[in-house]
Amino acid sequence: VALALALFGVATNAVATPAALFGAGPASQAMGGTGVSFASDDSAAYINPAGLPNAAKAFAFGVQAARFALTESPASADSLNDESHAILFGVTVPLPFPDPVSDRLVLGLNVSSPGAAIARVAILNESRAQFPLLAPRADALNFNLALGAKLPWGLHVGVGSGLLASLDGKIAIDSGGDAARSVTDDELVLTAAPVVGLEYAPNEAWAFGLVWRSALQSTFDLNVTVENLGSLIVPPLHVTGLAGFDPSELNLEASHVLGSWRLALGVGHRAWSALHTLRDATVQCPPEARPCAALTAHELELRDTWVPRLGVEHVQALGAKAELALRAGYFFEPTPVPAQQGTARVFDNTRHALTAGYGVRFAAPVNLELQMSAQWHHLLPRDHALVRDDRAVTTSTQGEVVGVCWTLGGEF
Amino acid sequence: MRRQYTHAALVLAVCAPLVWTLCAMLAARAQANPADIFGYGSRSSALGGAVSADVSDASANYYNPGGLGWAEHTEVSLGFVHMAPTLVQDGANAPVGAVNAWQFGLVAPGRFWGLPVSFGLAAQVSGRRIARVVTFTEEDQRWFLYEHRPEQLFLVSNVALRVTPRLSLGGGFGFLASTDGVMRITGELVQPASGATQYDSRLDHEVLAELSSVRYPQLGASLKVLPELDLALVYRGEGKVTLDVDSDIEGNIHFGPLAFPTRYLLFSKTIQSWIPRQLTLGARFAPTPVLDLHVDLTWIDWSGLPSPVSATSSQLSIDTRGALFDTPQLPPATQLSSAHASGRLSPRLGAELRPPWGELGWSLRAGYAYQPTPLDADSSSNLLDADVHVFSFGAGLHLLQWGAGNASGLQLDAQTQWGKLGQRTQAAPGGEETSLTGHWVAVGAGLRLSL
Repeated sequence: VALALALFGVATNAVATPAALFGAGPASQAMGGTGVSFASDDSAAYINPAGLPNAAKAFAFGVQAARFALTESPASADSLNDESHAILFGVTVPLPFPDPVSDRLVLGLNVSSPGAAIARVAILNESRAQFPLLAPRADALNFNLALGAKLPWGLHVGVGSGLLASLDGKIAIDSGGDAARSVTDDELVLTAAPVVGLEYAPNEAWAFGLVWRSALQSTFDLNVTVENLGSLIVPPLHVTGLAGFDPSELNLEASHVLGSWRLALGVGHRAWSALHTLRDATVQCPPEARPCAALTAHELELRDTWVPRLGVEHVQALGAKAELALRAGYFFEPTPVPAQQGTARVFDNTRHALTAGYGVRFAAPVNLELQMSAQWHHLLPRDHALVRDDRAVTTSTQGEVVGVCWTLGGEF
Repeated sequence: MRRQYTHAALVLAVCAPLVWTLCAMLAARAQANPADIFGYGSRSSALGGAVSADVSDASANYYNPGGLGWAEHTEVSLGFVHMAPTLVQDGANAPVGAVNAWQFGLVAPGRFWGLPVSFGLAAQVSGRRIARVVTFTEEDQRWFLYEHRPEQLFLVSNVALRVTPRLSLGGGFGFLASTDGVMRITGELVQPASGATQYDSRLDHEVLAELSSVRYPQLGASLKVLPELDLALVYRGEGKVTLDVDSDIEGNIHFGPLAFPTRYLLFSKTIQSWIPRQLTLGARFAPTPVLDLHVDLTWIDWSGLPSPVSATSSQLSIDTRGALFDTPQLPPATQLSSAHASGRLSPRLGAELRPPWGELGWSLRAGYAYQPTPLDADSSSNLLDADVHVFSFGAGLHLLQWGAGNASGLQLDAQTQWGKLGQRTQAAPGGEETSLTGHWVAVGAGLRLSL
């Protein structure tokens, strides 16, 4: 349990968050990533903090795993298959202030961490075959802390923040004297992404949710200077790259409860166009020296996307002290990455995702809930006009992604 | 041919120290907890840290996880502390700067299957900074326990269970972070000539890194023997992050029309972070209803203190294809010296007075701690440290109270600490002696919201 908590400090080199890929929590993941209008457990800290006021004092922990079967045809020398594992932890704590705010504030924490390895950084040359928006994103820390408040008239509001960390530093190498000397001064600094959410439930049947999440970006940025290397002159070197990125999002959702059924329909906008490169040029040309022959950064030219989501849940009693929830969902994730041309092989494909899962809740005195979800993503085949060994070739990318998640939690 | 050789040396001379340094950078050291020096939480710090037998707020996450089991209400805390060390070596102040840090805490008690349980979380972070790393070599003399140590993230999480009405057991983990990976730098370096500049160099980089967590365990027991007497036993396990970093420089060295494949490999192994094992025995005695006396005795096993310097070695291979030129010399592998540290006993004392001043609840606190240096007296080392006597004072005030029996409320705590480093003469490996002394000051305040 505590392991996952460790990690906002160690989010150093995360490459975006798995929640942005699969969703947060097994209930939301099983329902196609919906939940903006009804999530009321710790996952609301990520999905929509405005759902937190409906949460009890509860905890949950679990595991998540995913397998990425990605291909480039003709076959690539670079391995594209991958897998990820994560440990999940969440807690919600109502804050019983005196009137007039009694029973209105709830604090929520939602964390997923990729096991003992908290995050992986793969800052690669763009000529290497890679799917930077898939597997690396599932192998990163996701840390969200939020506060939800209950207002009159069926309104809930929530604020929170996702957290990552960036590495910034400088290295000065002085080769004067008998031996090379160097001074390194670097630091890990927190980067935060505020989240603001609104939930409106005019009656017990309908609920509407709106949440805005700012972009979450962390960088790996080292500036290196080399001096007194005889008569040789070395330009400043920039060992930089994108360690993590979630685009800013705006999600809108409506859900309707009819008897034992809940139906949710939502759409989200992801501002991918704000991301321009995965890494900067190693040698950057100053204005007085332009034009330079130094290598330039590869421009990604991403475009914004709209993601529709659909989820359904059916709840039925299992005897007097337990109930079973069956869930299913779908979402469509258009790729923000254009078809690749030239030597760049930064791939991504449009995905259809089918989701399903269940939850079993045991009433007091047991007060436990077991939840499970599974996702299957199908990457639509896509052609790229590339240049290899100075020859024009057409390659095709496609693949499948399978993800599963289990949690065990309860009120305390 | 001379120019060509220079080109070969250039690639190595630039890239070798660069990668060497990058490895050293990744081999970030974080020796022990920042809380080990300055404490955690305003109340606990004001009591000299002698609180293991009487702590149930968020600072129990550090001092005794078992204390969390006595928490009756959800508590959220926020604190700030400013720490300013003045460390003197041979009459000159060492360049060790002040640190500002924020402290966050959460205690959430509840019942699970009818048993009282509590969840606790505590963190300290220096501004937005999670960690700062400044590398040094075997030859550099450093105040290794103070330089950037307070700027490392401190994060612990625990769960406690009240086993009986008199006994609470707790445990959890503290967390450290490490980074390891591989960096590749490839390409051509251009020298200014014939209209070209160094900015025409076609260099490229790649980074493959992994961030991992290392956990060190904490266990604590809190026993209420009598209404006037509490006892505590706390164990904190050793935490060690062994870091391996490999670097790879690969490319072609061009000699006119000929190209010679070259590969340079560098291996670095570092103990990046290290937390010593600790065992604490604590007691609280209340001679009167308004006065609590605290005493803690902690054994800190410094004997395993590793050298904070990276151990590095390298390999160079050039396929000369029969050409005659000398292979450039590489730096020798690092020879690490022992840290020469031993286990130490650290006593702590505290007193808390609750005078009946007005309707608001006041608390006045004072404490003392002796922190002996882990370095052996007769050893020679470039690691600098000295014994510290820490005097602390503080006060607490209930700003707001509400609910049944005024159980909920908002409390303000403040503290100041003064740590005096005793005079110490230390021998460096070269034989020369250096004189050490100094002091540090920490002031802080915190709000605790009990609900």
